[in-house]
Amino acid sequence: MPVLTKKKNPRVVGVRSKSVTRVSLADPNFRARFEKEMRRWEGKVRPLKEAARSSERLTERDFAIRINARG
Amino acid sequence: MLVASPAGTSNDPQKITFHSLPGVSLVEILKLPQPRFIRAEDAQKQLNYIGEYVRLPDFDCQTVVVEEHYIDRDHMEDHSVFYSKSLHPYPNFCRRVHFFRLEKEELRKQINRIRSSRAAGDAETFGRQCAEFSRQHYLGFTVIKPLPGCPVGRTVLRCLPAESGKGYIRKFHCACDYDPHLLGLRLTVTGLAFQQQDLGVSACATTALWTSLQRARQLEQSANVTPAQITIRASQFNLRFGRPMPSEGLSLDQMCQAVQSLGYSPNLHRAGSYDITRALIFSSVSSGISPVLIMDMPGRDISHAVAAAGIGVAKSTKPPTADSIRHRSTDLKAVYVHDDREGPYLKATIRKRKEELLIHLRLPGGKEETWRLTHILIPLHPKIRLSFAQLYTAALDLVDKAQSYAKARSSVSPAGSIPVTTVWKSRILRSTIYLEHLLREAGGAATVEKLCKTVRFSRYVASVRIEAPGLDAFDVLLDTTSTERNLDCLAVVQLGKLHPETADLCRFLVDRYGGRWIA
Repeated sequence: MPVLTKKKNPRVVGVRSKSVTRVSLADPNFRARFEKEMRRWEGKVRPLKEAARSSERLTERDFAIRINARG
Repeated sequence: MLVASPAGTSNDPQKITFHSLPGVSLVEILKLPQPRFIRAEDAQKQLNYIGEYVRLPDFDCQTVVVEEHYIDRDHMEDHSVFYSKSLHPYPNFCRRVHFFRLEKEELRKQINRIRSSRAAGDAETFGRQCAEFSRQHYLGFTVIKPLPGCPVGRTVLRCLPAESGKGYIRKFHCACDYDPHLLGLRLTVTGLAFQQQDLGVSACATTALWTSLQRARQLEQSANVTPAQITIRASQFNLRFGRPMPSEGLSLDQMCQAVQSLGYSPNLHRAGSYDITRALIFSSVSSGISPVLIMDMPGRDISHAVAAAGIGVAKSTKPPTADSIRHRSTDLKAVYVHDDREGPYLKATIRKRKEELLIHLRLPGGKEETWRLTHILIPLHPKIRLSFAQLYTAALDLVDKAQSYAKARSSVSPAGSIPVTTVWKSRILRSTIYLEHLLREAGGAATVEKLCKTVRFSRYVASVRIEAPGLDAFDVLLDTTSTERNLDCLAVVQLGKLHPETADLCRFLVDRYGGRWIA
């Protein structure tokens, strides 16, 4: 008889849960690893945040654009 | 006594005619007069596009039904402020053309059958029959204005099917329901309204805003705004480029002014970084808020505005080879736009040139155009204070925590550290719509029950969906009435219980950002 299995989302890739040791932020060693990763990823996303913020910094020139394509 | 000859009186008989479409053009069926000073193919380009669209194999239109006298609010208002003051006596009424999949005789039979069933059954059954008939056979309608140079008025056509057959899925989140009546039947079509620019009351900027506000109107059940209202509001305080009518285009500040004075908030972004621009388009469209895309043509002093109706998203993506954080917009392949110079649901392919986002249009007749996106204008409900860019920034704060957790977890795995990619998306939704979406998830009913009993919702919530390897997916809900500096987290909603560590991360997020943890 075929076994029904949950279809995996192909976009979420990485660790297989079965082979992973149970972790918790209450564990100081794991917490330290997490915080180290956090510092790394906070640094990585900073340019993206800055780019998102700058998309809203508009000047007079932006507002003066004339939109008049005909067809 | 001299009596002006009216174009028609209210006592003239209404005419509703059925025509077979195969082998005949809409121009021939409607016997449209030829425009005097422009080429017919230019004036009727949009009408021909519509004719081709409904003939696509996915729709296979067989019959058109023409209502000879139709009062269209948009044209009535354009007429009132502009065309009624012309020497030529333009009529204030239009024609309306409906498109059906059924052949002429079968269509007549089906309409008669549903109509007769009303006497025997109750209103609910009749409504269900009309809805089922529309779902199977109705493709939409187009209003034909009495203007030979720009005949296409308000047009709502069924969206293209989700399956493209080309490796991507079409999603028309900005489509909404329209309920035209014909011969006693209430028909329904899901789409987004389109119309041709007339260069009298509206040019592309006005028309793109009009389309975008159609969707906003349905979210709030407010009155439709007309092109005339948009142009008048836009030019109320500022006439940067001369007279408002005949329309010579609008500036971006005039567009923002119009949005603001019509009761919405203009959220304007400059297209700087390719990734951010793509994410903003994706987030806005997947939130069901139609953004107006402002673009220019490199090398030519010309800018254009189109409204986005949907997106094309890749079905599969390559597995990553390194640790990464990936916004769902990475899968964005195309945007379906309403281009008032061409037609509705025009596919615009997204391309990258350095940090610029290029929009490539393949036009009917084999012509191609490449535009450079310069700005995105998103009309928001005024209660939404959090902009899409601010949401993106705040979400990155949350996503990097999830990625860090998944990465730290992977590093203690006996299998050793492997590439970890966290996928995320951000949307702004009516809280009721968010709850409806949640009901579709496994165990959603219980989660919705808990959420509704413990969390106070803002009218619109910002939802950040995070999917990290080895963890259950979860949503972080943010209050959109709060601002970037005082952002309020409403809840962290865990969507599954397969991975026990998800609770650990969710508790951490609630401790740090506030809100309630719902599992």
